[in-house]
Amino acid sequence: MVNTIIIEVPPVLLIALPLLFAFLAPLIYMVSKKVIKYYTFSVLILNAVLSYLLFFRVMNEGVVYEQLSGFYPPVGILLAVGYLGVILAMLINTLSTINYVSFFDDDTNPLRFSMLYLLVTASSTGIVITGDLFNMFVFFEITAVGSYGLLASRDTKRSYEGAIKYIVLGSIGSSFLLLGIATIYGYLKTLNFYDIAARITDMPPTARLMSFLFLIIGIGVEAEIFPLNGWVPDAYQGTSSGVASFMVLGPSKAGIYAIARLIFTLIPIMSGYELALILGALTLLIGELAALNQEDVKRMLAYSSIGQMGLILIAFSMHSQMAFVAAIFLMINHALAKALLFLSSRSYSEGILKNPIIGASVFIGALAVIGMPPFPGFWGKWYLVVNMAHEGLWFMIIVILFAAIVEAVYYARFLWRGTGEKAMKLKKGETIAIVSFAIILVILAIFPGWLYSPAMNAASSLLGGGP
Amino acid sequence: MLMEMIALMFISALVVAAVNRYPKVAGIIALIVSFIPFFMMLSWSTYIGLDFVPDFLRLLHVEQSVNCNIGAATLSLAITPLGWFFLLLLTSLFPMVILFSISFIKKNAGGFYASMIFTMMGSIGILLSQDILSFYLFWEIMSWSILALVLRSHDKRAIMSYLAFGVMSAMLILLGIMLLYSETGTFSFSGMGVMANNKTLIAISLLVAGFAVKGALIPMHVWAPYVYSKGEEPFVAFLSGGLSKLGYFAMILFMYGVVSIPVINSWGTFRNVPVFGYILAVIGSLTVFIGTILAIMQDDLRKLLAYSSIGQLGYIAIGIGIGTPLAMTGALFQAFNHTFFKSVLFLAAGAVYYRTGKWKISELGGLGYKMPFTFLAALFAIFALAGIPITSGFAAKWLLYEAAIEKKFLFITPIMLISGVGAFLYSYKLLYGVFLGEPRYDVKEAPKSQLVAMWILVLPLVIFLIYPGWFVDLTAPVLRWYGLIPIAHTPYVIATSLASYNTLAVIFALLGGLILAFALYMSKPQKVVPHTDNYLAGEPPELYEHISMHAASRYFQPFDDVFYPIVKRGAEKCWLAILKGVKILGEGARAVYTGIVNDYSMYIAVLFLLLVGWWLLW
Repeated sequence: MVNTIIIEVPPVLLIALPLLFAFLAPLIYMVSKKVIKYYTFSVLILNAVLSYLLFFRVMNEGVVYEQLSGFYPPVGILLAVGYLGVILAMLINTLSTINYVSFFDDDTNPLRFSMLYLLVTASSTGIVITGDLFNMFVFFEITAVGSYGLLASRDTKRSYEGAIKYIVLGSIGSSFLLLGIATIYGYLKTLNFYDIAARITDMPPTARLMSFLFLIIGIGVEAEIFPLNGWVPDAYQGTSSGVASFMVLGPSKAGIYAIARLIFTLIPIMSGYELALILGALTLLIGELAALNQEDVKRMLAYSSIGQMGLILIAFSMHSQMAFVAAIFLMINHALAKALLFLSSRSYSEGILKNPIIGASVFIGALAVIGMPPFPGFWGKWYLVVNMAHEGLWFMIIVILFAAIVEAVYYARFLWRGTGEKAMKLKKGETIAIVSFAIILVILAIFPGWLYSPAMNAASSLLGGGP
Repeated sequence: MLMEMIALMFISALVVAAVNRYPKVAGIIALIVSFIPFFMMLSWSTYIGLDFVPDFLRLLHVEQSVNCNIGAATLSLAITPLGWFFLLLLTSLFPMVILFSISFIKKNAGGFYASMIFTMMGSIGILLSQDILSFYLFWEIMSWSILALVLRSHDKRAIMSYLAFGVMSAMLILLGIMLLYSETGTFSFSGMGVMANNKTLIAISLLVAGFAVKGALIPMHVWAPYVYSKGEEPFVAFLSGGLSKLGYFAMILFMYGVVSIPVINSWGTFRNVPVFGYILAVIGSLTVFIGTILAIMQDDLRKLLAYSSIGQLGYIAIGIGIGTPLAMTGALFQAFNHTFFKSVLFLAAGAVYYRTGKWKISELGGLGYKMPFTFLAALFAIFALAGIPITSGFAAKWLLYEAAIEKKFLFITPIMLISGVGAFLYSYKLLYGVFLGEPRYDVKEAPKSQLVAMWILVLPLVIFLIYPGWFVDLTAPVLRWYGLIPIAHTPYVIATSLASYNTLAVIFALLGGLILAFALYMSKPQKVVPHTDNYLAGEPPELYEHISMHAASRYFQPFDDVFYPIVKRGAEKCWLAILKGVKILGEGARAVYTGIVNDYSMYIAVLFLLLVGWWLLW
């Protein structure tokens, strides 16, 4: 750590650059139609590199603040890059870069698609590094609007259907979010996270609780929390596999991060933890059980994804350091493994396990999702269960273990369908992306320590009320 | 040195997977690597007072214990007498199984060897683990490496039942160790000092139920027939012969190591045997009985061996449950024998399939004349299985019988004896139907590598027949480790409270009998008659299919008619009913997602109102 050269990356670049390049994309497209994909890809790589630099900066210096547009907080907009935020920023940027490779062979609306992709990446990153509530709302809106477009990008009836459902529910969510922000602003006259956290006790309990409810319902739509997640199965089933994997690794992770910030930093009330625990358990059970009988692979993965988000929410609601570490492991595991499985689902057919490379990758992905060691998901479940045993929450442990068995049954069916004689056809880009995800999973499996110490930092920072 | 060895195995697994295109090369690399664990096992023997270290290994220093920090946690590994004993079984079996596979596995060989090496690494980790985290971690690694091998069977039932039961077992184990952890506040086995209370009783029950899945005890055995009968033979030989023992290893470890004998006894005893152990022994004897009955009914060679495997593993559970020094020695002896004879039988079945391409016993026959060495190896294995005193199988069963008789268990003892006779029935079916009778196929003897693998595995069965005392020496450190006194013995004689077992007397009596039988056999001229002669006095009508004339088809028909209604998929039906119940729940959960956006919007409104209402009441 001592000898590392720290480049002082301004966090705002992570958001501003892709936004700028997204709006420059039409110009590029006018010049040459072929180059647009390489252009987008290089922007994504640039952003990923920036996120690494920022990661090392935060690990070295602690939380990095940056005020925008010259006004001092609480009036001006503040970016506060915390440990968890930067881990997620790195995760989202790296994985969406890899995920983009899978679109290289896909020629439907390259311009529209690339612009939306950059927009959503930038705004998801924005959600995790912002220090301002309204700013977060704006990024949520950009993410949501971008996602509507991405989900509909396949130009099929199903794709539009999923997108429309997401639009309706997303708009309802946004209005709840806005109501919550308005309530807080009305009482405290501030939107800065730190300012709100410091003065939240000034609000009357009723208003505090109402704003909490508004916010959790608003964000819950994005974070796939039951019963706000009606759009998830249809949207994921309708869209292309690459977009589904992008939704899993980007916006949904940003959403769950926002909930974590909300219940820990912003409005820490005891019943908030209980509520999150109950919602998490419901989400987990409903998601896993719904996946059990599902024959369509994408829909099954979508339900499974809901279940996993429930598990992450349970981990966050435990409000202890080990459970936070668990939540971070689970988030990273879910982003990697579920994105991998979604990518393989485009033409999921008999014989996917026949191809040694893709077969091994899909097998690794399935094991990681189930939470088998030594993949990060195992450490997540292990820390979570140990923490629960410590606190004597036996009922929750049984719920989690029951869900794990249900999960095993339908992933067994998934794997069984993958064995067979037919040859597997995946495009080159998809194969590269799948294999890269698998390699990252294996690396994290061999060196869990690389995740562990940043996760510990993030956990203690969040518990201390930081970002 | 341990970590380097493990790293070497890991890298070689990747190398083997990379040279997938050249099966022979992959096989030879895997064979060389497969001896690493064997040599590690030999080197470790110094630490438990049995010095088997060959001279060329003395230069390498294999540590007694290692604390391995992997960043997220610290794993502590160390060699214990119990772990070493099971390591002996697994590591001696492993190279032979790989040797057999070189000529047997044709498709995607690299993946096969890599998964086998991963399985072995997981098993070594389990056997060395000194805390619950490393135990559980390696247990799961072992489980999913097996899954990779099960996936190669392309059989829906095998894959689904294996993964469902595997994860269920893992979750039972996890719940059990979490209860132990919350009770004692430590991960380490040695520091636990478990006290007797209800929580620990639940914990140990859950743990034993979880391990029973791997050990294929009733009613957790449902996966075993499917996996054993659909997998590739070398893998099945390793799974049934070696890996299933890990379940029993873990039972001994947790029942007698982590939860000590006084604590188990404090939950009640029955004739000086803990009630907990007695229940395990009864489950074991039921497993023996049902496994044997089902084995008698099978016509598929692999299914027969699968059920026979379930039956034979039950004996180990009986020994562990009774838990006296005699019974424990018997259980370990049975585990040892089962490792070798069951793997030889599965490998012999594989060799038969390799040459003939048939699994049905009623389609085989007379292979003893064409494949004499395979036949002889299988013959020895069958003797060991049936407990005939020409192999050490007799000594193991005898110790178990005596342990049960010593405690006057009126349920367990007769069942064991009846099942012993049952074992003769299916052994005979196997022997006669496959190897004897009229030769039906003109095939060559099995490849040399397969024969060598089988014959090396037969050797221990013969050696420990003559010197059962040596075996008691092997198990003595294990018994002392858990506070039991090893039984008195000399190399030839095992002395117990009831009587003493003298192998020399047994062997001489047997030799006398054999000479007599041979003399009788030679006194009359013999002639070989076709199968069909037995039925129809040499005049087979043309219109019947040849198969229906085969001696092994409907061999025990009256027996089957009596028992079939009793044992017909009983346990499996229960599990399927449970699965159906869960699926109904799943339908309910799916019904939530109606696909209509109005409903979804309504959910949001309902949630909001509920939360407001909850808050108003609260």
